[in-house]
Amino acid sequence: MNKRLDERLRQLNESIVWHPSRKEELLTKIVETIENERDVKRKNLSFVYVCSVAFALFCLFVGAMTFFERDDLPRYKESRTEHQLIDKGEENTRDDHDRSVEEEIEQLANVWAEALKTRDGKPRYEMMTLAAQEKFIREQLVMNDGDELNFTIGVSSPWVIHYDIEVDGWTAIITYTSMTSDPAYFESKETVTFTEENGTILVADFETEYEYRPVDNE
Amino acid sequence: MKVGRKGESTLTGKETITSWYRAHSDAIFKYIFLIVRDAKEAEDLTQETFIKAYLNFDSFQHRANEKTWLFRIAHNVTIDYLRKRKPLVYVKEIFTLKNRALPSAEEIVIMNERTEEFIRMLDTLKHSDRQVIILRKVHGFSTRETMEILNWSESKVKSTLSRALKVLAKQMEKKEDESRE
Repeated sequence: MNKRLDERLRQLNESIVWHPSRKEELLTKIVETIENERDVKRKNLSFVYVCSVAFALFCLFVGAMTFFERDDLPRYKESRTEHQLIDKGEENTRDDHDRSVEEEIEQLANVWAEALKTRDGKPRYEMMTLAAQEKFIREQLVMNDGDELNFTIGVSSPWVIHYDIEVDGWTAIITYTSMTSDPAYFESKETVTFTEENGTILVADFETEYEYRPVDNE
Repeated sequence: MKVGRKGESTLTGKETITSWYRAHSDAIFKYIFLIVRDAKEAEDLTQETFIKAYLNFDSFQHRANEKTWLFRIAHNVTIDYLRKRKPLVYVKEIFTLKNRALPSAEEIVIMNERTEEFIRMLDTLKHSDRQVIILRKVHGFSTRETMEILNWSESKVKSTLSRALKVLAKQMEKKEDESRE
């Protein structure tokens, strides 16, 4: 019996026939699936590659931004960013840096002069070093005969109608032209000295060279 | 994916799987078919076996026989399939095993009445008994290879086979008696 059973079992494989066409069809399916799988893998790899490159660029960008946002660097963001974009080398970077400082000082000098024109001392006060702020307060108190401190600067007449700014290194020389209702015209000259504290450009000192010098015409 | 032993011409994974398919798909299909008893499912599981072989090719150690390795995958795929089937259907099938119809999909598998009858007899065995008989006696794997495929110990393979053959022999004897009567 065992012999016959063995024989039947051995023959079983041959007595089952799987249609050859089905077998070939299945092979085609398998090959297609493998190829699709490879495509998916390739696509995934491409996607991972693109993501990695994008991430690396993002990190580089964030790193660069973090570096330039450091407190120990001068704070002249707008102009510096613009210049950094066109930097070609170290020398250019240095030149651009100097140019940026000059531009920043000119902007601050404009704010300073405009403050006299509008007679509002607050913008001036905000851009001063502590020492300059103390000086400003002292002067304001003198102007107000020791009464309470206010930020109104200048006089109602003559009023500033025009100003010129000349920047020389860390100093800005501002020439104001004022007029009265007569009309009479006057010229005043002020020197504003800038400094850098913790990466911020601030007004260190300010001196009036002369005030309300009569001029013949505007 | 490039594959091949040192000194051998290197084949791509696709080429290797294709050549393995030509060599072993018939045996794999029949093994699965005898376990799941559904020709269409057997084809799907055969496909899954070769896809898995392709995907896991890196884990294939050339020390092992590729046929044994493919059968191991086929065995796992089949077990997963049987586990995933709805338990109720599975239980129902176990209880109605004797009366279970042979695959109606003649366009997939061709076999004569005598073979069908013998397969029905095999179906009456426990799943593990059937597995070991099919591997050892139908496909001619050695005890060691069967151990690898089923992940069984040597004693389990031997004792299960011995018991299963006895049960099957009895079934056969009974069938022959019935037909004589």
